[in-house]
This record gives sequence, C-alpha cells and structure tokens, in this order.
Amino acid sequence: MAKVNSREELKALREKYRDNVVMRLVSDDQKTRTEIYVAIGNCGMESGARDTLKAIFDEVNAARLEKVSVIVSDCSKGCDDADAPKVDGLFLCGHDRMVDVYFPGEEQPLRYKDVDAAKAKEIVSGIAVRLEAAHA
Amino acid sequence: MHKTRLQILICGGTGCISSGCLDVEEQLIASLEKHGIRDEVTIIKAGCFGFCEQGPIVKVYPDNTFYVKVHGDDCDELVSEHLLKGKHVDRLLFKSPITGESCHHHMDMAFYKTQLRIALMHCGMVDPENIEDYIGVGGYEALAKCLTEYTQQEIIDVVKASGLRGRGGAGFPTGNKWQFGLNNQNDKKYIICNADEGDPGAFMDRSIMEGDPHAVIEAMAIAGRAIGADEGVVYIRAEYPLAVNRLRIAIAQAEKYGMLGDNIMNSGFNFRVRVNLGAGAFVCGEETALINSLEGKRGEPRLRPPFPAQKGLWNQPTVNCNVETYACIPLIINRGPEWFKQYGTEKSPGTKVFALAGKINNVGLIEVPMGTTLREVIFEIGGGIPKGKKFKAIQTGGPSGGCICEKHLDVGVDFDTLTSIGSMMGSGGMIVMDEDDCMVNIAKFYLEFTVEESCGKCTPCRIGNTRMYEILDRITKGKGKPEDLVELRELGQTIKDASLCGLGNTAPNPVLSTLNYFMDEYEAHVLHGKCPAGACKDLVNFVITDKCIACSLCAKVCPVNCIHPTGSETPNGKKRFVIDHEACIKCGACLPKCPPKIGAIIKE
Repeated sequence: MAKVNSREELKALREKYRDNVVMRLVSDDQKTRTEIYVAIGNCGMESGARDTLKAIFDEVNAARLEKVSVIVSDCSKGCDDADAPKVDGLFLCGHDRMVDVYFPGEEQPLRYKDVDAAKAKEIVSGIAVRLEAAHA
Repeated sequence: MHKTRLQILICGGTGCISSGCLDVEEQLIASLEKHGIRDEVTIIKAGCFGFCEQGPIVKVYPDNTFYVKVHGDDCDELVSEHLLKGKHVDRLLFKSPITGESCHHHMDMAFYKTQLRIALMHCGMVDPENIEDYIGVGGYEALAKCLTEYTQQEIIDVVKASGLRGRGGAGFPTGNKWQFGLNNQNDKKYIICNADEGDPGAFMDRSIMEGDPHAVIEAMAIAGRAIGADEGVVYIRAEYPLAVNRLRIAIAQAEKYGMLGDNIMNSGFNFRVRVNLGAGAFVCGEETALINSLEGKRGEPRLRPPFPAQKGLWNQPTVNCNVETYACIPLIINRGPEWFKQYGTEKSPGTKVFALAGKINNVGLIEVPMGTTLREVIFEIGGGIPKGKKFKAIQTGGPSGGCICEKHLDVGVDFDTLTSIGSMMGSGGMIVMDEDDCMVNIAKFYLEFTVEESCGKCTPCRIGNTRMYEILDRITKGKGKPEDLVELRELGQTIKDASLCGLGNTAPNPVLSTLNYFMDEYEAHVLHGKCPAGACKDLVNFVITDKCIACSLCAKVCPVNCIHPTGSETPNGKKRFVIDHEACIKCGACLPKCPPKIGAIIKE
C-alpha cells in the first residue's frame, strides 16, 4: 500500500473501500432501502432457490445497486395457507423459487415465482429502472 | 460491490470476549465450512455494541438480525436455519421484557430506541483492526479537510462553535483549550490523549479505543494541526490490553497509509502518535499528574498555573483531551458545528456516553443526547431495577461524584445540572443502587477507593480521607456517635477546600451527598444501631421465628454450624431451630433456604 498523497487519493480509496461497509451502512437505514426476499425455507433447498438467490445477488452486485438488499426468507411468505396439501411436513403450494420485492415505504411486495437466472436479470433491471425514475 | 452476500458482525469488546465471543467466531467458521457457504459470508469482529448484559452479540447483515447470548453450540443452527433457509432462530432473539415479543432489529429494543450515537457512531460497526473499514465510512476525511481547507485558527473556530466540552469530567470547552495551545508560541508542542479511565464500573473510553481507534488517532492529528504540535501521546493503562493492542495496530496502519508520519497528504504537516502505558493509578487521570507520569516521575499533580497549555509535557505547551472528546471531533469537522449543536442542551451540546452498571437490568454502554433525564436512562434504556426491587439512588461521576436520589430523577443530565444537585458528570460511569444497598456502606466503598488512590501529596486528602473512612467504618459497625455526623461534614468540606487536585477536591462528594439525601440512614446507624437496608453485617441479626417447622434445611447450609434444634416445640413435637448469634458470621446463606411459604427466617 503506497501512502496517500492527497485528499483526492483519499477520496478514491474511500470509494474503493466503501464496498467493505456499504452493506452495514444501508442496512441500518431500513426505511430507504429496497428489499428483495428470496424465499428458501425447507422446500427451497430442494427446488433450486439457492441458485435463484445467487442469480439475484450477482445481478444486484453487477448493477451496483447500493440501496438494494438481498435477503433470504423462510418459505412461509409464499405458502402460509393452512389448507395447502403437505407431504412429509413440507407445503406443496405449487410455487417454487419465489421472490418478493419491497420498495421503500411500500407494504405490499411485488411477487415473482419460478425465478430462474433469466428472470432474475429481468427483475433486477426492473428495480434499477424504477429506482432511477424515483431518484430523478 | 459486495464481496459476499452476508456480513456477520461479532461483538469483540472485552465484555463479549469474556462471555465467549471467540468461541462463537471459531464455531461459526467451522459450521460455515461444513455447510459449504464459507465464501458467502464475511465475518467481522467489531467493537462493543453496548448491550454487554446480553453478550456475546451477533449481528447478521443485510437481514439486520440482532442475536443475543450466542454461544458456540448455537452456531450450527444459526447457519443451517437462518443463513441457509432464512428461518430466524427465535430463541436467540432478544425478548422484550414488557411484551415478551422477539425483537429482530436492534432499533426495536428499548435499549437502543432512544440512544443517539455520535462518539460511538462507528463503534460496533467497523472492524477496528482494519483501516479500510474506517476509510470506507469516511475516515480521515476530516483530517484531509483540516489540512487543505482550514487554517489553524479556522479549525479551532469550528470546535469552539460546536460548543464541545471535555468529556473527561470537568466539562472545559475544548475549543478554548486548543486556543490556549495555539496562542502559546513554541517550536515544540504536544498533544495528549487521556485514556487513563479508572472509575469503578466505567468503560466508555475503553470501548471507544477497542471499537473505533482510528477516530481517536485522526482527532489527535487534527488537534496537532490546530495548535502546531507534531507529537501525540496516548496515555492508557496497561490493564486495557485489548485497547492497547488495537490502538497499536491502528497507529501502524495509519502510518502505512500516510495518515500519520512526515508530510501527511503532501501538506507539510508532520504528526506521530505513540502509546504510553500507565500502571493504573486513579490520580494519573488528573492531567498534571498524568504529565508527571509521562515524564517518568511519580504521578503527583502539579500546581496550576502554569496550565499544561502553557507548560505541559517537558514544560512545552500541551493540549490534553479525553478519548471521548477526541472521538467527537472528526464528525464535528465533517458535518459542521451546527449539526453537533442540534443535539443536547444549550450549554452542553452533543451527546454523552455512559456506562450503566450496578442494580440495573440492561448493564451496558449507552450514548444519549445531553439533557436526557435519569429516569429515561434508568427505566427505559436501562430497563429498570432487577427482581422488581425499588430504586434507591444512582451514583454518577464515580468516586468523585455523588449519589442522586429519586426526587432528582427527572433532571436532564448535563454538566451543569449534575453539579447543581451535588454530583458531577465525571467521565460517565453510572452505578444504580436499590433498596438492598446501604448508603453509608456505599459511601464507605467509594472512600476506600480514594483513600487507596490518593497520591499522598496533600495532607487533607491523604489524612483527612483516611479519618473519614475510619468514621464511616465505625458507623457501619454500629459504633458511631452522633457527633461523627458533624465531623464528617466538617472534614469533607475542609478536604474539598484544601486539596490541590481534582481527586482531593471531589473525594468527599459521595459522603457529603449521601449525608444530604440519606441522613435518615446515617441516623438509623448511629442512633438506633440499625442498618435499614440490612447490608451492614454488624448491625444485622438473623432470627428464626415460631413459623419454623424444624425441616433443618437452614442448618444444612450453615457454613459454621451455628443453627441447632434447641428451640420450642412445633405442633408435631419437633424442636425448632435456633441461630447461635455468638457463632453466626451473618453470611445469609440460611435465608433463601427457608421455603418461601414458611418464611421463618428474618433479618432484623
């Protein structure tokens, strides 16, 4: 590490190291962040929701969407219907790889199902467009 | 952008280390490897989160889940359920003591809700052993600003305008202190950081140095720039090994990045910081005694004037501030004095860090705006008194402060209000006492501390405090005389008036304040030979009443075998037990053994 020789160099370093801490900075301000919940729970482990998670996270990262958090959630969001049929204690709601998107201040999420890599890309670019529009 | 999907912060303060956070870190790593997701998680050992009572604490980002009392064995469930499947581990969440509901996010907890973190802003948030984290949250920008935008006078003007007062206890305006340092022309000047935190129950400065050491270093460099010093010394006690270690790491990193050393950021400004270990003498928290100690002399106070800003370390102009004062400086420079002044009271702007200890549910480190009432601190943030006991008093300012009783609980805490009710801010220790604490005994405890810590230079402090201690000792043993109470007041006033330094000036405060607010307890000891709280062993007797059913549970736990079945007969024809008061050592072990529905043993 060479020494920092000016305020501008410090600024460049700050932008670089912001990647270390931005997750912590954004998470403490829950009111202004967009949250993407990838439902995994017990069923998701079997149905490939972990791949969905990876796809979503990689897309968000590639788009450098700082104020968007990707969070794993239990599957109950998608299938908390008590009458849903169960096999071996697992719900069979018929929907896998569910993704909920909560925009800041909104109670109701946008819900997507059967999200694969292509759909993940679509969802994240949709979020980017909407956040940019809100910002402008 | 993000290197990993998850960041897990483990509290790495001294409190959480002693409750087992190192094992948590180890087990967490093992478990992540077992489940094959080690590469999805960054683990950061951060500084103190403040909620020491509930440690070790683990925070999961970006979920924002706050787990308490996490142990090594819990890690596997945390990884397999929460990190993999998104199912929160409910049993490790903090439960609201009022509603019983689980709190997922720390801002849902009463402990954090009303807190405002300025000095502790990055404590428990950045990795204290990694300068990159600190730079990432805007670290060293304030120093850069001072080196490129401000003249020396302008830096001081900003600090003055913020109204920042010294957090070490006396509350002297920091900007004025720096001004004296600048005005005294000299080739060589020094900056000192007073980290000699010695009050019983206080750990504010320690936590800042453990959690955010770069903030202190940056502020010292700013102070050096402001007054024209090129050398800084952190005077810290050797019994803070973790803080010392993290400071040293931070200094080395700052030098490597060119934030300390020669020609910092090409400005022509040179500044170095070194750490000086103290042996842990309370009097060395007094600035002139500290300077003596730094020079290798006995830690005894010097006469003031000349003040350190005129003739300090090695007789050169020296500015000495406390850790917490420094921790506020970078934010004041970056965000402006008006930002700082919006918090707190008119004469005491900003916030204050307090260490809550004693008979309180939420033991820990808190930061609140000045002017917050003691009632809010104790009953909302602190969660009240354990086991439903009654609040009796709170000691602020450590051994130099005084006891504050119930009637003053609605006073907003700042430098001036606390002084006006006979206590002081001190460095921020707060010890809560309940109905089981005897105030005479408490005063004796603090005085014992100052007697031991008095450097011995001034007769009133050296001998006067010892005499006061003897009187208090006599009173707690039931041998006090009514004239003792008069003598305590007179001695106390004389010691305050005739001692040279802050230690002697304030040592009688715990006695004088308890005499003011709890005279009835002193009188009960002296006039009636009773200790109302039942804490003074010599004034207490344990007695077995006729409710005794001769079950013998008490006799079995008695360590000196002084409980024998020699009393009257129970309806079943068994002999009731009797305590032999000659042999009894008043340990109280028998009391909880008597079943509550019987309740035959009483303390009188």
